[in-house]
Amino acid sequence: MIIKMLLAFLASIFFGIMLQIPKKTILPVGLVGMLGWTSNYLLIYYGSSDILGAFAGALVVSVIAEFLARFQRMPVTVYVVAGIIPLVPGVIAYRAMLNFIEGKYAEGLSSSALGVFMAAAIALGVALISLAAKNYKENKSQNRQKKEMG
Amino acid sequence: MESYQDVLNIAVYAGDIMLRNGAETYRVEDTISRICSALGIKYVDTFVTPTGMMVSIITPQNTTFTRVRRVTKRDINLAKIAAANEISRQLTSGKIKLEEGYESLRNVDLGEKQYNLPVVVGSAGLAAAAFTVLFGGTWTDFLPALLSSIIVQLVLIRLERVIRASFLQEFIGGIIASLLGILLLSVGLGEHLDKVILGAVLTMVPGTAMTNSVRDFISGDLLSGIIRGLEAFLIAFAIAGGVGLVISSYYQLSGGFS
Repeated sequence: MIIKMLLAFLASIFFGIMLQIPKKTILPVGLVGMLGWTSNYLLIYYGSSDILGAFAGALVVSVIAEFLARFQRMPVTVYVVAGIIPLVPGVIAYRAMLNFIEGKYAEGLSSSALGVFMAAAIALGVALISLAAKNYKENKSQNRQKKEMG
Repeated sequence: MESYQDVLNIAVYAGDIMLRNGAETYRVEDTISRICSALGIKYVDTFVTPTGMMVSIITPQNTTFTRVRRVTKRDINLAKIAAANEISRQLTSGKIKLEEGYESLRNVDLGEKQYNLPVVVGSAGLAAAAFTVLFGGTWTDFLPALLSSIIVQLVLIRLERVIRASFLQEFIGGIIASLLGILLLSVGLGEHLDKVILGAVLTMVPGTAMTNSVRDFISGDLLSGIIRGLEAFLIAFAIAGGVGLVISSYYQLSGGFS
């Protein structure tokens, strides 16, 4: 498992470099990817469904990304895009495609449905946290304005 | 003396850089509105989609200016988004003047990518190899995944100079990745065909488009959400189509499914 964690770390870093992430974010991006993948792996290991695992992994990725973004003064996207890559349901998508080729349409459809739901769970996890962070920030600045006014 | 047209132009330029390099819709709209309101414009309205934007401002003298900016070429360069974001922050907080801001935006826009071609291609290879092992391949699959991903990237970059057609690249990438996988396995490199191909095509996966799509939907930018979602779907479909084409003919030729 330690080796796989390291692989998730490396995969995120190299994927990030492909997308031209700023240099000072390279190591943090790897960390985000690794922690996201690890939480996903542990959840599934202890019996959760693939979809919940993907959702939890995405939550972890985006929470850490929000903190790092404040800390390093960078857009959150930098960390999230490469960080969620180890969570992508590639194996399932591949299996779905193979099923369709082999003419097993029922299995193909069920694999595709699982893949789509996992992708949606990842995207939803990311979107939820970023929306919460945005609302929190807006509330804070509104409160500050109220205080200043009176 | 700065005119309000200059403010509008610089705001649109900053937004344009961000949109072209793969920023989310809300970030682009936010940047444009912030720059405009910080620099004394009374009213600003933006409409941003992944393929273009419209920005309209009303100055304190009640004149209206509007700009439409079409975006055709899209790429992903997160460092440029970060840099444009930083410049717009400095502009709104008054740390830099308009000309300075325009100059730095130009530098960001026209500047070289921070990682050159060999670095990008090499990392694509290493990322693919890491994915292959992460997704259940063995260490013998490491090398073929590395090689095929590097070759796929090189071919795609060449191809991009000749033709620029959306989704065709991913389709061809899928074809090449699976051909290489079959070739490398038949000479005895690697043992899991599916994992090697998967690693090699994963570097083309539309992760940014997918997350941005849902992000756009949730913040109410329905049109952008649909466009990006469809983009992600079509890219995934193109990759699967390319891989499927090769794999199915390979199975046909080699006699049945194994």
